[in-house]
Amino acid sequence: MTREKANDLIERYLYKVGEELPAKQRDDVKAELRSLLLDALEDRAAEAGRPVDEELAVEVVRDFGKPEQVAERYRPPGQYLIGPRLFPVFLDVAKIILIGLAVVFTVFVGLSLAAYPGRMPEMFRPSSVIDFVDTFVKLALLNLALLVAVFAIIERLSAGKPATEARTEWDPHDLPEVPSQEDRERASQPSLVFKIYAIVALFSWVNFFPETFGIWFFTGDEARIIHFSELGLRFPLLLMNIWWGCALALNVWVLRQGRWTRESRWAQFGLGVFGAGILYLMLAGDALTGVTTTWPLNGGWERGPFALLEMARTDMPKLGKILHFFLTAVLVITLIETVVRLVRILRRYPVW
Amino acid sequence: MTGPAHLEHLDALALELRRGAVVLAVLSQLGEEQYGYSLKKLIAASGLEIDEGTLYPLLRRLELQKLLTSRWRVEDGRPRRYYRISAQGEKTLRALAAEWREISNSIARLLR
Repeated sequence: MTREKANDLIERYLYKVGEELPAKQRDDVKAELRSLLLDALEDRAAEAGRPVDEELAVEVVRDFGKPEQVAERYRPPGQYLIGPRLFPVFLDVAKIILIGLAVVFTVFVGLSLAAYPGRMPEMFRPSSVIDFVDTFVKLALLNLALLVAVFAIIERLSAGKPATEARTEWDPHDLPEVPSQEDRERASQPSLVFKIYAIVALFSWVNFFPETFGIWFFTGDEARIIHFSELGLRFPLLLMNIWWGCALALNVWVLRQGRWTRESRWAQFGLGVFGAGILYLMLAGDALTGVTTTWPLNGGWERGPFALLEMARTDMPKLGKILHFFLTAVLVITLIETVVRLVRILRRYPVW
Repeated sequence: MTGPAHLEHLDALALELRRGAVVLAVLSQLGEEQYGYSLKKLIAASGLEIDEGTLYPLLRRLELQKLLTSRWRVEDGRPRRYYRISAQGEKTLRALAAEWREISNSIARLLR
């Protein structure tokens, strides 16, 4: 009986260690530990001059250490979804996203209340409030899940980097210049990771949930979506995906380097030109031909600050014009930003 | 610092000192196949006690680094995992042993 109790204790110990191990190595490590524990147990019994018993098994497993600690030593290094190096950045970006989402929802509610004051009692019905909170929680969880996926990829990409660098030769002459304060700030981890996250979120939204891609309105008691196609706007999806892919690669590259370099600055400039080209294509496409860009400035706002919401229900062509105006503004800003960027690069890294 | 705190501190320092030598000790004894427990006893017989929690996971890590090879073998009715040094491990052992001798000589001169 005593040997059975000793064996039982060892099996309980192994089970606990196994729980803490990755499934891939669990059985193998447990089998090896079992043989080692039994060897140690028999040796100890021989030294004590008595048969194996539970008391001896307790001594043996106690000497081996706490199951969690034993498992920890067997786990391969770097088994993190988000490691200690990136975790503080993850927290920062997660906070930004959750606060941003809360702000968007608050503005959304505020606008809806202001636009439809008569429907306030309906909007504050318990069922409406529960629906609203439910939507917020689902969106927050979806965004956090996406953020975790983005960080897991970054973690994976940067895993093992120090070891690789340690093995390779290096020349002190190749040491980079100390980056300017501006460059260091621009390459800050939270900002880059936020950009990476935004790219992945937009990419996923457009590609995987196209039915939800559009302008959302809350018309009193129901949410409504106006698809961009309804507004006569077609997106060059392939080009946009290529642009997102390039932007993602650039931001991950800068994140890994921890600074902007001449090459990454030129790549950023190229992306600006590419992006402006895509915007131009969207604006010059036949879908929007003939739409003037003057409407919102030319009397549109006079109809009141919530004319947009009203229009969402009643006047699609005018909403299309607003979108056109908005995209034109984005194109102009992108062009100005790209030219400024080019001047900066040429000043900093003269090519002649 | 006196009493138990001092002894604890001393233990931690001694452990730190030994840690680097453990890999060398393990590689040096695996010219012939050994399983974890027999290796522990073999090294202990030379006066170097290695904690089980350190030794066994170390064997796995060294195998992952291709410095050891292993295979399961049933002996006395019990399956055991036997380890042996690999060709790459032997090269590493020679390099580490040379390094060890240099450090040992230097420290001996310093302590004189």
